[in-house]
Amino acid sequence: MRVKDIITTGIYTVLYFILMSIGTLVAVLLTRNPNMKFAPAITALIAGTVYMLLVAKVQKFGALTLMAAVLGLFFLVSGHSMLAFIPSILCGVVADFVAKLGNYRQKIWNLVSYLVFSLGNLAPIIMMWSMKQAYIDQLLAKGKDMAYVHKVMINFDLGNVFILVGSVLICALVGGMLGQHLVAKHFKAAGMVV
Amino acid sequence: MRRGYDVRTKLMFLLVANLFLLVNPGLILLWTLIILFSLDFIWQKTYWRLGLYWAFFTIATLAVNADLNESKHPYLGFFLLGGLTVLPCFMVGLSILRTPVHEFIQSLRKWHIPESILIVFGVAMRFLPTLKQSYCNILDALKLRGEFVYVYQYLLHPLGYFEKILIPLLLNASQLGQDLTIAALTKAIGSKQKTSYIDYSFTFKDYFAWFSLSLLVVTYLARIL
Repeated sequence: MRVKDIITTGIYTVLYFILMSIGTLVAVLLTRNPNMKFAPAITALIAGTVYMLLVAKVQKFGALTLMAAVLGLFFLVSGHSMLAFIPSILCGVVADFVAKLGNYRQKIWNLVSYLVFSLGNLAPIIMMWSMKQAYIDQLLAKGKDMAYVHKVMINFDLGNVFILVGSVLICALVGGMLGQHLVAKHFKAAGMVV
Repeated sequence: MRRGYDVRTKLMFLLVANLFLLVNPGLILLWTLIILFSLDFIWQKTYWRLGLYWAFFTIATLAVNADLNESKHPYLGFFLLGGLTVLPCFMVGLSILRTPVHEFIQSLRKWHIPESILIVFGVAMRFLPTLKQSYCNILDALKLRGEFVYVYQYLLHPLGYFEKILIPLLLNASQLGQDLTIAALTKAIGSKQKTSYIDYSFTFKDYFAWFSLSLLVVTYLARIL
């Protein structure tokens, strides 16, 4: 990666970050629930164009990893836990390898890599689970028994995890295809990407 | 310049706050951490912000300790306790984001963070205000053509709005990337030898903080072992 590629990655990372904020906002407004459960899904739906354009413009190993690392750094520095940082980077590296399989040119591999990358956005939500454990500890410390805890803690189960992952995957698929369509329609026609 | 903790000290605070988020060390250790970091706000004289944090922490601590009926309010206690463990992280993190970009990058360079990550971070900070400017320009250009003049039009055609805003933004961004690259190369961004006019080094405050933080972690470890 040369300086030009790094700066290009930086700019698209900011755009991705902005779209992520918009996605979170829309998710909170739509579900009228501040737990941001569907924020990664809506982000995946709208950020596909930025991702596909970055892949098409740089076409080198490292751009996606770098983007994930900086996004993770944003998460980390803005106070989300380490739990958000590590899975985010991991997803970025895997997404980079997947896209490299198709030499950053084959649509299908780019799409799969976008699916993987979007899963990384779920990481900040994992924090909710660690908070849940702390809450259970607190309740037990106050002398309540386990049955009481189960009565209080509603809808935090494995089914929810499937809903989360499934919604992200479906939205990423649609968003990625929309992104590829828009990139082909506007940028390939203008000759800005090959 | 009113200086509080060094950026690296703040990162250490962030790590300890994260550790406490994961392991839930109890209210006493949490409050010690909060008080330690409050010194930074006092040194920088941003009292009202500190006041807001303290108000929340006090209310949440009182509420968590009070005998709530959790089954009546299933989320209330959860969010209060969650806020109590998460908010120290946000307090430290937002304070890191408010430091000048130059200080942040120069301090991290001493820790040998990869230069590419630092460049991307710097570009991101530089690019954010420009983005807002170009968004306003695009919106004005659209209005000139009679599109999306009123708010209800956004809601009627969200997909069209999305495309007509995003594509010009992306085009703009690639142009700007070109310019930034040239400007940055002129300022020798790729060179190995970096110098800085201001030297950010540890002061007494930082040594005090590192000592107290290690004491905090040792106390926690001693308690669980």
